[in-house]
Amino acid sequence: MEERAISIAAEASPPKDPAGFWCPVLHAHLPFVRHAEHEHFLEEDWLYEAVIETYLPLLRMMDDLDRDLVSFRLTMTLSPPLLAMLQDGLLMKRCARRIEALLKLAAREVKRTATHDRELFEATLFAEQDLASLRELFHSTYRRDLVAAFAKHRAKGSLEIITCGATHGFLPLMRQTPEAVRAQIEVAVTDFRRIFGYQPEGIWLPECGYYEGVESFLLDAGLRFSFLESHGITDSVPTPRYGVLAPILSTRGIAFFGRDMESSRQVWSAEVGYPGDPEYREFYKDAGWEVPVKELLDFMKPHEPRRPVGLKRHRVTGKVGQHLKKPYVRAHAMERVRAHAAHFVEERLLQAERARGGMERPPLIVSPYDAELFGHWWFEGPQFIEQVFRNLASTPGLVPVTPPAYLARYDRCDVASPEMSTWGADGYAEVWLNETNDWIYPHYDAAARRMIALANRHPDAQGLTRRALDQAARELLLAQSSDWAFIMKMGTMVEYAHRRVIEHLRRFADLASAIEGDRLDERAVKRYEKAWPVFPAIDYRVYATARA
Amino acid sequence: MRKAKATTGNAKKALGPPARKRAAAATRSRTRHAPAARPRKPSTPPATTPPAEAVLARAQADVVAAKFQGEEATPRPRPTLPSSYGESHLLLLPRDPQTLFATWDLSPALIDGLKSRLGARGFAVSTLTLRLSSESGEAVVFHVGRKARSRYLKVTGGSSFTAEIGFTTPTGRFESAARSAACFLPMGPARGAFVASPAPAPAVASYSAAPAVARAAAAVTPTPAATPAPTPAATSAGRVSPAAKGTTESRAGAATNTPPAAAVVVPFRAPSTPRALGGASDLYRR
Repeated sequence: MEERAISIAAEASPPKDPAGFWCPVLHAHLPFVRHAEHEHFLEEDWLYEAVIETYLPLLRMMDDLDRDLVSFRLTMTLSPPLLAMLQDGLLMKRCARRIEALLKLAAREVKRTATHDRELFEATLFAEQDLASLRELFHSTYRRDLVAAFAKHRAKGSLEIITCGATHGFLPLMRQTPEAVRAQIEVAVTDFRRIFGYQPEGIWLPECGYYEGVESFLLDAGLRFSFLESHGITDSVPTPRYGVLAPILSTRGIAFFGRDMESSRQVWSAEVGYPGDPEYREFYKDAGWEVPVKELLDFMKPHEPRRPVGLKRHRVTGKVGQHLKKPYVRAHAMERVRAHAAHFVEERLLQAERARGGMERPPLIVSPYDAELFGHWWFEGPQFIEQVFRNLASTPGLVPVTPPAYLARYDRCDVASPEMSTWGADGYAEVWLNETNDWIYPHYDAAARRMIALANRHPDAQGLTRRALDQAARELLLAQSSDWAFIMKMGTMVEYAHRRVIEHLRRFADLASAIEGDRLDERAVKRYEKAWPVFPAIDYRVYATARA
Repeated sequence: MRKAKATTGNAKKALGPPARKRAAAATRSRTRHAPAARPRKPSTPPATTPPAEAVLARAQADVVAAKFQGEEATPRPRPTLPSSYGESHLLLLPRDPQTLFATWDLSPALIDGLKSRLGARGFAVSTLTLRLSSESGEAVVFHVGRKARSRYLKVTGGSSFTAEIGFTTPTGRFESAARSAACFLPMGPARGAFVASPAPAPAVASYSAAPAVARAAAAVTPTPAATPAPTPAATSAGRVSPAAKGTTESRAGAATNTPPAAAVVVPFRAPSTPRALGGASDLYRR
């Protein structure tokens, strides 16, 4: 803690104002997916892919910067469900198995391609070597504990870890039951403190979803800053003087940082941004679609439909069909990484210099991204960030910063009331409330009101009743994940999203009925607790009206 | 004139999920567009131009959807949820500055009570009615199908709304079943237009100060140029605090003398009337 305080103090008093500050924010989140009852479960692959393609490469990037004494400042959300999965022994064991399976497949493909396809051989060899390096990190360096690895960088002051909603519940559509909003925030903060041992200062509102009034719950939970979509800031009243180029302070004392659209587009978009460069690795062309089924038995059962497995060896190439994609050439891709990182830094510097004229302080450019964009979607993304930080080290005009460090330096903020906003399409709630998913809301609402009534009726439950109430709270939270509504809207894996919502709500109803009827069955409670080992320190009384 | 109209009647929507469109969407999500070899020069001036936002929103959706990739096996029979929770309840949610979503449940006891009072024939000719009221008290009435369980409501202009669901009897009486909590719509870019002119400059407060100090600073120490213009009279209109608990009043059988309004649109507010700001905004203005 002392080391960190010194780091912020040092950052807060550099000799001269730069042209601008850059605040990169990576939002790492996955819904809680754990199916111990099945040896292989498709949706658990989401976690393994993210670990192998995003979290390990990001940690490797931070380690490399540290080793080379390159200063960096990064802000990252680690959502509570993701933290729970990264700390789950079974899931990490299965993740290790997945790495081994990929390495075996890569080795077989190296052999197969060695004699007749030189280019594909080279690409496969690179994939194998990269996987071997990640395996080494996973086992030897991090000892399967990625949370501790992230915490190490936080302790050094390079990484600001913030929290999120307990299960990424979409808060603007929960506001009719304030206790449910409160539970999403308080359970998350309690879990964060349990895992990291300190109080988080910031939160990423799930889906960047803000509504007027949510601040009271943030303040109650000890949170002081968050982020908004750009129109959440620009539509604030009164209009903040610097738009998204400086944080505002809401009338209730929460600092909000606004997203910069320009830097967002360049990195998010494969259409107009960097990730679609022809030299970069193609996301959709995967060995899972190509190699004989018998080679894929470590990933799927013979009768299951083929799916991506994570061994990708081709480049984007251009606007051509999948069969015309050319093999990946790592050296060429890294050339593009260097060019794109240089371009990004140059553009941010120009952007800052353009904005600096009308401001009494250097502008702050806030660039939030899904963490999984880097590595999973855009394979070279972690190298891009690394190169950006390396370039910034020799660009004194633009300084990477975390929100607390910026606020320590520029304490005075415009006071304004932000507007309801999200980072979804059209900026409001349409992604999570439309004809594909609106059926879930009356059920969410009914369950939340029932949970509140239970918490009010049992102010001090003990023993089995207490366990059942805690588990009912877990089931409700798990049902409320915004990912389910998003998946229904996007149309992929819809069946799973439906099933998860329904099954959690049914378990919730079972528990609620048993508590109300005083006919609890310990075996059933135990079964549910075992199935969803998340939020071990949850206290159902977070739903009590008196507390909200 | 502000208008409101219903867009879709979702009969039985609350009973379960709608039909899937998985195949088409899966195909769509696999189509990744490759851009030009060199990144574009970022000419982009204001970051809020609609096409740029659309590009970003599409890109974001692609990236996030890629986290959830997979090929689903043959669907198994899906478990179900109750079609009704046996209570009269109305939930009103904000979707965007122009759209509200209303979803309701009617208790069997309420229906039985109505049937016994109105008689089978009287009940049969009563219409299920959704009344939407703005903060100024103006109301719009929608007659909805008996089996409908939800409806999107288009409104122009942001404000605070409440809704009431019930039956309109043949004599024109409205038998209320449930009332929603207040629902606050965002105003979007139009919000600034309702700020008094000249627009007040923001006050400045210290982050490190306690939140209470920040509140006080916001309330009493505007910068000299930031002295707010006189608050429009309309801003004193009562508005429920956003953080207020969202209770639903269930008034089975309660009768009011509301005339049987046809589905006529009533303006919520004269266009020239400034909008009453609420919640944190009001805190600032005070």
